Order: sequence, then C-alpha cells, then structure tokens
Amino acid sequence: MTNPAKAVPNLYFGWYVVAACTFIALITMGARNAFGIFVLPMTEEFGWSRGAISFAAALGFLVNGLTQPFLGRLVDRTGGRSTVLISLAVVGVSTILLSLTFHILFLVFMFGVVTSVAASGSSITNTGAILARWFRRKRATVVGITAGGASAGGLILVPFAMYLLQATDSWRVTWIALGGIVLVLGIPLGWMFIHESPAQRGLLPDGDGEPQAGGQARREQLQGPLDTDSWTQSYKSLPIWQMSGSYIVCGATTFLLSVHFVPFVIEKGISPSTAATIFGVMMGLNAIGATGAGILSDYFGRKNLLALVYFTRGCGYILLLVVPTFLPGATAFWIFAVVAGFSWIATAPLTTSLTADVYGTRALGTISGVSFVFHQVGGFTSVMLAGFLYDLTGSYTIPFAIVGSLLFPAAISAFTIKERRYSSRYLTAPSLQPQGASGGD
Amino acid sequence: MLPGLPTLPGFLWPGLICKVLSHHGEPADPTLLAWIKHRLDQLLDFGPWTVVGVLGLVLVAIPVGLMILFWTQRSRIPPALDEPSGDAAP
Repeated sequence: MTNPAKAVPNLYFGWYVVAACTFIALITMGARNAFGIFVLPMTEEFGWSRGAISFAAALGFLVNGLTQPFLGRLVDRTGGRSTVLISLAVVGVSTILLSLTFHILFLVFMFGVVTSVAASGSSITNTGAILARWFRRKRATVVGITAGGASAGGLILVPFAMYLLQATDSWRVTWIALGGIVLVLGIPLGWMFIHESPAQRGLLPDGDGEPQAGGQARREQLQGPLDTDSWTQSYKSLPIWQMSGSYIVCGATTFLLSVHFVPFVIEKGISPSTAATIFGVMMGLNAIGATGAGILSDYFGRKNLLALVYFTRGCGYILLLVVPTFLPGATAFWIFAVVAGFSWIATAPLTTSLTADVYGTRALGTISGVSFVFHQVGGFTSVMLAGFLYDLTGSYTIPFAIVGSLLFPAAISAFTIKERRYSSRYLTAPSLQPQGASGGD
Repeated sequence: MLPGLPTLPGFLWPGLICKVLSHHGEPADPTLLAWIKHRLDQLLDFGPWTVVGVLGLVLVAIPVGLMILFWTQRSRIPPALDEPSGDAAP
C-alpha cells in the first residue's frame, strides 16, 4: 500500500514564489496605472492644469526607468527579498499618503519620485531576477506569467479604482484603498513566499531532486561562457548589445502606441469610443501574449521567438499604415490590436530569460535594469519624435512609419544572437562544450 | 497626446524636459479612461459598489487562496518529511 501522505503531489515551492511575484506585479502596476482616474477630480479640486498633473505621472515613469539599474544592483547584492518587501511597504505607504495631497509639488514628489523609485524595487525586472534563480528550464514561462500579472493589474485595479471613485465620490478614499491593498495583501504574501533562491529552502531549481552524475540536474548547473557577476563585463560582449538594441525599438514602438495610438485611430475616422475599445482589447491581450511567449520559448528557444515577435509587430505596423488606405472602417485596427496586443510585452520575458541564460543570475538584476533603461530611452525618444513630427506635418503617419520600420532591424538583431553558443541552456556536461555551437544560430 | 504643457514655474522644469514628458502622459489620460469606463458601464450594467465588491473579492481571494493551498499542502506532509531537503518544502 502506498502511504497516503506520500501520495499527495507536492507543489514545488518555486511556484508559490511565482504566484506571489505575479500578484505583487498585479497590484503595484495596477495601482500605478490607475493614476489617470485621479486626474479629473484632483484638477477640479485644486484647479491644476492637465499638463501639470500629467507631468507628475510622466516624471514617475521616467524615474521608475532610470532607477531600475540601482534597485537591480540592490537585488543582486542582497538577494532581493528585503528589497522587494521594503519597496512594497514604501509603495503602499506613499500611495496612502497621496490621499493627503494638498499641492502639485507634493504630488510630483510623492508619485513622481517616492512611489516610482519604490516601484522599481518590486518591479517585474527585479522579481524576474529572483525567479530566474528558482527556475532554469521553465525560466521564461514563469517570467512571462509575472509579466502577464502586471498587465492583468491594469484590467483589475483600474476598473476597481474607477468604480470605487464613483461609489465614494472621494479620490482620497480611493488612494487609501489602493495603498491599503498593497500593504494588507501584497506584503504578507511577499513575506511568506518570496525567498531569494531555492538553496535557502534546501531545494534545487525547477524542483529537481538531488543531482546525479551526468544527469539533467548536473547539466542545469553549468554556467555559460559569458556568465558574470558584473554588469559592466556583460556590456563588453555582443549579445547584450543585440538585446538592448532591440529593446530600444521595443520601447519606441510600445510607448508610441500607448500615447499616440488612440489619436491616430481617431484621425483615421474611427469614433473615440471604438478607438478606446480597440485599445482596451490590445491591452487585454498583453497578458496572454507575455505568458504564451514565455511558455513557447522554454520549448523552442528564445532568440528565434524574440525575433519573430519583433517581426510580427513590424508587420502589424505595416498593416496599420497600409490597410486603412483601401479597407474602410475599423477592421485593420482590430487586426492590428490583436497582433500588437499579443506582442506588446512578449519581449520582456524573452529578453529577461535570455539575459539570464547567457549572463547567469549573479548580476541579472543590474543587467536587466540597464537594459530596461534602454527600453525607456527608446520610448521617450519615439514619443517626443512623434509629437514633434505631428506638430510639423499634422499627421501621425510619418512617425508611425519611421518607428515601425525599426522593428525589422530589431528582429534581425535578435535573430543573429548566438544563443546556442552562449546560453547555458545548450551546454552539455561533462565537456562544457556548446552543443551544436556551429549550427542553428 | 495631452494638451498643454505643465504650468509649473519655468525655473523648475527646463522646457525640453517638459515637452518630452508632456508627450508621455498616457497613464494620466482621463479621456481614454472615461471612454473605457463608458464601455464597461454598457457591458456590465451593475452598480458601482457591486463592481467594487466583485473585484475586491477577486483581489482578496488570490492571496488567501494561495495561503490556504500552501498550508493545506504543508499539513498533509508528515513531520518526518517536512524538512528542507529535495523538493518537499511546502
């Protein structure tokens, strides 16, 4: 007879870490993305201009991007648990403090600086660095799930805040509720489940058993030829530049859509309501795209899929620019919404996991943070360029064409990464020689 | 694209930075959110407190469910097996 206690399937603790990181991404990103619902009530109460309050939000996104490498460095040095938990506490408290807003500078400081710096600490870039230690074979899957959680945050927290604001008619109460969710739900979950590495709990990555000679577990512990504990060292090699270069284009193309897609669609004669719905569907597909890309890349490799994502998004941009000229109505925009929605943040789990495979996990927080800065720089540049060209030409067509065309070089850059040569996934024991290094790349 | 630039004191915000940032205001675009809410109202047709209650329940259920799962698994493991070795941690 089998012992019933032993027959119960045991869930690898790493999956609890994934669930906690996903929930944290959901509530922190959701709370940040809900900022827009506070614009009208706060501007009405204080008499601020729309631009002034937008500045607080935009500064927050800039600060969030620029501080990512520093918080990533902290995660690399401390392991990450304390960084994530303290960051969560600061996000929660500062969000509650936003309910006390009395002056625009208070809002700019609290949201644009304090909340945004803290949000860097609990970002998916940092939790991705922690998860990369817990998983090797399913690394992209779990990072993809977490990225999907960040997208889902907008779908749950933003409507929650919208309707709470409507029900209470108080933006102060709504800020308190959002901060309270982070403090009451996020911190206990993180405290319970976020641990820095499987070794802390006497486990091996992926829930493997004790390593056997020449076995899979032994193979998984090998380090790639570019494995490093220094982010500066990583930037002396080609793959990170290929990834970061592509990531610039990723930022450029997604930020452009975030800011200018709805006006662009309206410019083409679509009603604002339909344009907003198309945009909402595009956002909703993010979560599926990110998770799906992660799962697929764990089976089929990273760089080809990454290249495919950029290529597909590039085709989507062509569709967006060309099809409406001969196909009236919103059909082309709906097709684009599906293509762009699936590929929107699919690059994040692929880039993070490929970075971990090539450079290891010792400096992953910092390397991913620096890479994220490239992403943000691309985003800000494209948004500024689009605004400038719109003012100049009166149309969004040229900026969309310029930025969209960059996706094809980005796809080539990703496709030419020598994954089989540098990724630890393709190393074999005991020779430590790459498997099939001469082919496949 | 949001209209206007920040009306904050000019000495605080260099013009170029203001222009860049004002073009990156999608999280603060209330018009887009108003359209989305209008569409949600059409689709859901519930009172605001109902939506808040349902979404709040979803938010609470996730961590609570996870903790229950963890403790259920943990309580099923005999003490002798509940040691930090192999994959028997939860």
